[in-house]
Amino acid sequence: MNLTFVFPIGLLALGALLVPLLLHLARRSEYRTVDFAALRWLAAHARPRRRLRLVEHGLLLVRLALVTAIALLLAGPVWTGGMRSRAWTVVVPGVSPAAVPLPAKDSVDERRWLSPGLPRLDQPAPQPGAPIGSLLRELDARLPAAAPLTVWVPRELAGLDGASIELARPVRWRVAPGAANVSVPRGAARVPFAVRFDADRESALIYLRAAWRAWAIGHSAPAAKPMQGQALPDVSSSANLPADRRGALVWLRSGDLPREVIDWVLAGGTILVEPRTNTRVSFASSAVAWRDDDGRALARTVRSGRGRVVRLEAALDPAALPGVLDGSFASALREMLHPPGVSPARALAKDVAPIRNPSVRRMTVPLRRDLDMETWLVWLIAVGFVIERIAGTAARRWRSA
Amino acid sequence: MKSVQPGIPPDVLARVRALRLSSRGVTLAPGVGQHPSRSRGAGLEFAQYRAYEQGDEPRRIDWKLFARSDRYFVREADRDSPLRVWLLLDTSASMGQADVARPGWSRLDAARIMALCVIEIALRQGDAFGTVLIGEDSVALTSLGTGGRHRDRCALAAANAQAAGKWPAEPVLRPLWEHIRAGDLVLMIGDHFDEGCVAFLERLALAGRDVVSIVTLTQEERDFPFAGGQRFRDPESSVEILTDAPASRAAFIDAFANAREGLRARLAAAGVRSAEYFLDQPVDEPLHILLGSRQAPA
Repeated sequence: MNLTFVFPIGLLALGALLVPLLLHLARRSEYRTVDFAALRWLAAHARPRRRLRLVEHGLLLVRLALVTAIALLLAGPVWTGGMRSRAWTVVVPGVSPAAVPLPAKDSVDERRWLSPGLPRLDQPAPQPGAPIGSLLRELDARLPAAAPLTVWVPRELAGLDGASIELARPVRWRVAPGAANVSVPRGAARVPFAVRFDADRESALIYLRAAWRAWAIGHSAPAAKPMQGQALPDVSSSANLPADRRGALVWLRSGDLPREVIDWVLAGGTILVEPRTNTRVSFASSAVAWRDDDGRALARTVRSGRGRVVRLEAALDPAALPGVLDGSFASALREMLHPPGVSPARALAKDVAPIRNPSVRRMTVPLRRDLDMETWLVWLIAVGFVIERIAGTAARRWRSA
Repeated sequence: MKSVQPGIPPDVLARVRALRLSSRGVTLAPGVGQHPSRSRGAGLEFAQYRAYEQGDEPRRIDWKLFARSDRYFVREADRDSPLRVWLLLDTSASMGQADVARPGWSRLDAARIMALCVIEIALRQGDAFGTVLIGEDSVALTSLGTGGRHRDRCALAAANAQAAGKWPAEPVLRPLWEHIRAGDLVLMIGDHFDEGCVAFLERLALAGRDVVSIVTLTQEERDFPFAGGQRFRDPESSVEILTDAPASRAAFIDAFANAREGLRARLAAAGVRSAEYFLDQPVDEPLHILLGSRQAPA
């Protein structure tokens, strides 16, 4: 059990201890002036010795203690160690709590959801989608070193990040039958998109429908089967936003983009437009999103806010853009609407079991504080302040009386 | 005529009643009083015989001497005359100094009470008295007089005196010579820190005035009871000295004792009787030393 500080720079506030010391020293340099007519016989060369004397010791001690307590509070003292190494069981949302074995009788194990705030397991399941890797690393750092950790995960795990999960302790990694911990759009091979078109552009829809069908072929995910053969989900000749805001938007209309569409793109949407649409976006710093076999750019993409604008170099028409008849148009369209490059956040749970790496030691605040020093310090400061005010003003009252 | 002068504490007045003002020399004042004078006339104290001159009263001829010597002699005696008492009060700024331990009791307060006591004595003896307040670069004179109303006039002048300014230069004091005549009793009350004051007293004494002085000092000047660093300020010149009181205490007491002894010797050499008064003593103490039989403490 030892004392450490979360924010050791806060101890620099101990330099403020000089202030009360100086306050209690300064009084000494005030000399009383006395009328003294016999000044002629008084030797002037005996300068007063500056004795470093402190006055009002009690008040000074109170003030020093007050400043020290404030500095300690700023530094955030915590007792580390000394906590009981109880076993921890965390459950990733998506796993049914019923799948987790009941704790042994009179067990003191902690059973929590792996979610921000670590709610208890007897509380309702939190929303899925939390960053699992980050939460696990944080939990590993804040638990006592000897506490065993058991993690219950669904078969498919989402919310992962680019790094593998390296923890300082051995982890019992239990895969439970259960849904994935995040509801993702089904048939991930398909990029859902809506189409908005002018009446004269209806002829372009067949290429989009062909690509939509082609995306389903060869995709073995069982969840994709019910979708097979379906038509495009949202095709309309109107100009309103699609109901499903998460998908992409293919805009086959002339004229300016409506304000609400621009806002939607700025908020993170992806839109595919033809050259005749005025997007009010500069393509000066664009990237090529689609090339033909000769290397010519057929579509360019540019960032707009948090979203993207993809502009075809020609109308979506075989006469202007022969590439639409290519067999590769389906994959090209998918890459235009949903470019690869996003790191996989989803994996089978058995493949991402944490790796034990004892050299990973993260120093953070322990999860439980058996001794909550900050509350005590705040009370100490409050009481000390009251005492200091009473003593300080009382001393002045006595002096003036 | 009120018998008790307001301002004098009753116990002080009671102790002072037994005192008598007297001049060491002979008074030259006209009139009949209680002091030996040089004016000849009918009296008890034999002075001389002189030859009869025409116009002398026949009853003043000493007939027994005529029987022995067959010549006319007139017996003369010294006549007792009243005394003329001048009270000189230093009212320069240094007289406003009081002890820290007793802030309301300044040198000037003590000098005022002492002057009132002397006036009371002079009034009882029928002597003439006047006050001279010397300070603030000027001289305020209340001319000689007798009686209760004149006492009140002098007391009012003394009560209105404020300690301010410096001891005036010599030309300012010159008109005093027209009032203070030879043979007058001059009682100076002040701190005697100014060289002009001591020189003036010396000249008065050498010019035949009977000068008595009360050197009024504070208890702090005698004991120097200060602790720690102190800033001392001269009330007249506003010079300030910052010094460590305990370190300079011994040197100051030594130097000041020497200065007091030097002043006493200098006044004595000029024929001035002097007594020291410290503010923590009874206010009538120097009067007993100078006018009574009490001896000055060693």
